[in-house]
Amino acid sequence: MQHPFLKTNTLSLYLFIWLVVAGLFASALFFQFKLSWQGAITDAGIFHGIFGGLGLVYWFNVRYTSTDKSQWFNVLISHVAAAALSVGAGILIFQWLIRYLVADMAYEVFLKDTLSLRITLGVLYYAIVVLVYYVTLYYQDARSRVKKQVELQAMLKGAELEMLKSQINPHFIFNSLNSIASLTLASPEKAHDMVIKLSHFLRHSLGKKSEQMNSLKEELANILLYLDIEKVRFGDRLAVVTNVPESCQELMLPNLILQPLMENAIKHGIYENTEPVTIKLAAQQQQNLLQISISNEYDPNSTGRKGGGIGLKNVRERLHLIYGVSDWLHVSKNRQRFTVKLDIPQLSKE
Amino acid sequence: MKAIIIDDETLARDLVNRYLQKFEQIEVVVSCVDGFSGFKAIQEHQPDLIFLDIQMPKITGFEMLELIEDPPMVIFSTAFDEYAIKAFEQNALDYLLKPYAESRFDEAINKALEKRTVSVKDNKYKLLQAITSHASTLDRMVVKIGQQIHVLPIDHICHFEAQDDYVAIYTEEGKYLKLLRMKSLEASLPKEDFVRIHRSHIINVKAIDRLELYEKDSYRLRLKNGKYLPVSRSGHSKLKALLKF
Repeated sequence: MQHPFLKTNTLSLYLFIWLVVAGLFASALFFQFKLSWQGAITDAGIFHGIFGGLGLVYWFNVRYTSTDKSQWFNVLISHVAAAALSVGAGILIFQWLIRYLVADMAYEVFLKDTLSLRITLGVLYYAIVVLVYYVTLYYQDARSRVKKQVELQAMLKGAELEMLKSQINPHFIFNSLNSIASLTLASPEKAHDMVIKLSHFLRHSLGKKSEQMNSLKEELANILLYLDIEKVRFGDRLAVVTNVPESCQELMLPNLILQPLMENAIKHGIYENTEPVTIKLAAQQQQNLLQISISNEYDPNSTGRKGGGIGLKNVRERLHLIYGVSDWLHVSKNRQRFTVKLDIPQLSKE
Repeated sequence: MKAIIIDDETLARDLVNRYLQKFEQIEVVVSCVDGFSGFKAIQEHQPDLIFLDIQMPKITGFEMLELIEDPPMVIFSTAFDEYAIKAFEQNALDYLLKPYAESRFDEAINKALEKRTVSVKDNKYKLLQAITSHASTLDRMVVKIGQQIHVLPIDHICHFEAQDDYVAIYTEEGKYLKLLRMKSLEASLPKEDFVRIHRSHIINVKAIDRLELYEKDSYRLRLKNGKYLPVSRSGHSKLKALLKF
């Protein structure tokens, strides 16, 4: 990790604080000890210059001693030793310099009188600077932990999306291929159309990278493609009614979020029913919510296989992962229709 | 040779019909779109051969087959059903995985023409057992009374009783018989709802009214419909474990 004070903006703050402290010390010398103002400034300047410099060096003692709690005794010893050594050396250098500049007997007495004060100050400066270093370390550590957590969350989301995407129903794919096999013999042109539709659908479903949001227009195009393929398989048994106003086309929603809902509608509508079935898809905007509803007729007498609700659960979890709060999906059922309603918050564009 | 095609997708039926064109010996008498109509058609036409899809509306191909006492030869076709495929492989019945090649189809037909396909009659029990043991827990049972097919959601069933080769299924509406073994039935029922309380009895815990001491050391169960059933020693400990009393 970099030295926290060796960056232009923090270094000038550091120097400024030392300048203020030195100023305070100088005025104390001037008023309290009746030194001349030149003498006071020289003394305070040299003393604080030395300790300011030492303060920068203290970083290495903080940085390179262990932060392991079981090592606290060693850390304490190292700080006591560093404080004693640096304060002793600092004061010796100071005395040597000041004697070189101001050599007189009266000053010698003054130096002796203030020695304990200077030692106390040196230790205090050591303690304060080291404390500041520890706070910085702790703060940086916490920040990097939060950052890592955010990254992890994003990774998890990505992985989960991959998983949900890979759940394209193999039944659907193989049955579609079987329809194509049949069409190639009976009506090659229709087979051609179907192959192209299936390819577009698969490309959209499998090829999407981590791009998480998509416009309703694009999602809708893909859903309609899916329904077209199912229409080829089931012919007149499947009718689709969509009601999506132009104003909703550019609203955003999570990639492939409608697919499992439409698969459910097909599964409970068409797969478990021999009568014609109408699937309805509608969208509207309510303030900053995009509301989508998908409904299918079902046979109330059919004891359909329970799908275990995996599709609905996945959609609910994805919305929860993306938008927090979990009540974005509502299910209702009357005698003929099963309806799923989705609320997709529209985040303001950044 | 009379044949029936049972598949809910038109194009899939078309393909079978087309592949069959060159086999003049085989006449498709009717095509059906689900298990109910398939069952009726088999009773009516007594075909020699059926082409049977598995995933269909109302009841699956397997469920339909369970209801037929003297099943004809069957060529199964399915797109993707891992349990079924395992069951097929173990029991050597002929099956086609959609989409299948014409040559593979012809092979299956030739087996049928030479009667080399294992007759389902001999193997039905084994196949159905293999399927129930591979499949996840049951959520419904399909039974018939005469020509009427009933689909019973599993939670509507109060209790089962062994009766020779059959199992009697009791619901609030009535009693149904099904060719089934208690052991495989017990294995495929949801463990948290059903307990085998006796060699010949499995009950739905929701149907229990109370457990009473019958004679010294032996218990009997009173159901909500007022019926009494015996509880064996091991049945008693299973009940105890499940209901935590």
